[in-house]
Amino acid sequence: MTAGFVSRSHRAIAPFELHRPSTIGQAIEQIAAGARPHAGGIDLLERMQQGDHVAAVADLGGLADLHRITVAAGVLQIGAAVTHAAVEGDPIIAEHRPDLADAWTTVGNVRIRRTGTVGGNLMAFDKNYDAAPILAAAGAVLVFASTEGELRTGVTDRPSSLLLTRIEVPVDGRALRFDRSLKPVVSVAVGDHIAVGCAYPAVQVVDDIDTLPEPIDDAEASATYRRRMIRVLAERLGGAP
Amino acid sequence: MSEVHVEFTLNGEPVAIDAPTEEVLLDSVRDRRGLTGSNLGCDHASCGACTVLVDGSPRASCSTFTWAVEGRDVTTIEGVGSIDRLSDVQAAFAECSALQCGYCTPGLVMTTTALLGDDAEPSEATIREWISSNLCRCTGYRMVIEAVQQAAERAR
Repeated sequence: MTAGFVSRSHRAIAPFELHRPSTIGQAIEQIAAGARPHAGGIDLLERMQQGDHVAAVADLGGLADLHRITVAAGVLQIGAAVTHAAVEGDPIIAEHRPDLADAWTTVGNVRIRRTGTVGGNLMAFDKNYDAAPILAAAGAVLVFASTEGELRTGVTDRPSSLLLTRIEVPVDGRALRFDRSLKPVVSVAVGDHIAVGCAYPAVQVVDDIDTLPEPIDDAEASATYRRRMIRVLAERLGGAP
Repeated sequence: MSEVHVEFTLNGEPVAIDAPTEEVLLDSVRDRRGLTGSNLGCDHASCGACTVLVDGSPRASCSTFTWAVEGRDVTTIEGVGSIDRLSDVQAAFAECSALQCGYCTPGLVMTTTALLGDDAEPSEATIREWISSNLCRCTGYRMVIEAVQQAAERAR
């Protein structure tokens, strides 16, 4: 290694073992044994740079099934490793759920959208990320693969330790609208349901905003302000009377 | 230490390296190849100073494992132009004084290069959307927007 070229990245990542599964079955076994899945890698690298201990990483880049977008029997199927940019620009999504593509145009920035993935955004379990509220409002079903077989869940009850393979969105759902302009205080998505991000430890999904619990009260905003802004955004998006 | 063999194209040349799994692309191009134009800024994929192109798309090299570009085509600022032969984008940045300290400039040039590869006649709204992924604390962005517009004109 050549010396003298100023600093290396200052938050060094601890060594780890790299797996490159070529089948979903291999990936399931590696993840069951503790490997962390890597798709776009944006959130995973950030966590590793911050010191998260990761002994092994499973690179999902070789699993073509996770990168597909298809539609069948009235259901849009989005592979977990599809990038944000692909959701925004895919012709199948544009035809069947243009509202989903529109909601996605505000995720991250141009550079992040071309690397970061829908599944990575969901499985990061970050209250401020956008995929969970958008997909929860759309009534999406998440499909996981595990050594026990396939598991189907909603957004709010998704498990953290299994391999997400695809996201299913009904094509005939009510048009989605999403407002993230007040992040990280509150984000609201309205579609078949009303979903609220940022304001709770995990996304909240309701059909009536009056049934929402008390939001977080922290240095970013008070619970009172968050409660008020949830109503303002929900009203703007047509999700409140 | 776990090492991985990685082959990719760097500024048009084939590259083969054996790197620790945890090595990031920014360190590979700076330390191994001496290509110090890509800068380390925030070190968490936010500021854009380390932006390189991977298959023509902008990517934060500080937050990309080197093994993740296996088989890909990577371009750094050194592959865009040189002091003697500035690219249209570089010439426009110089012409419009779209830099002061210059630290963010390689990243902005890479983002602009990708934008013009995608959209030869970007609207101001599109330019703003793209360059919002690169932080610049000097220019206030107005000259950067003008430089992107001029680069688009130069390329036509």
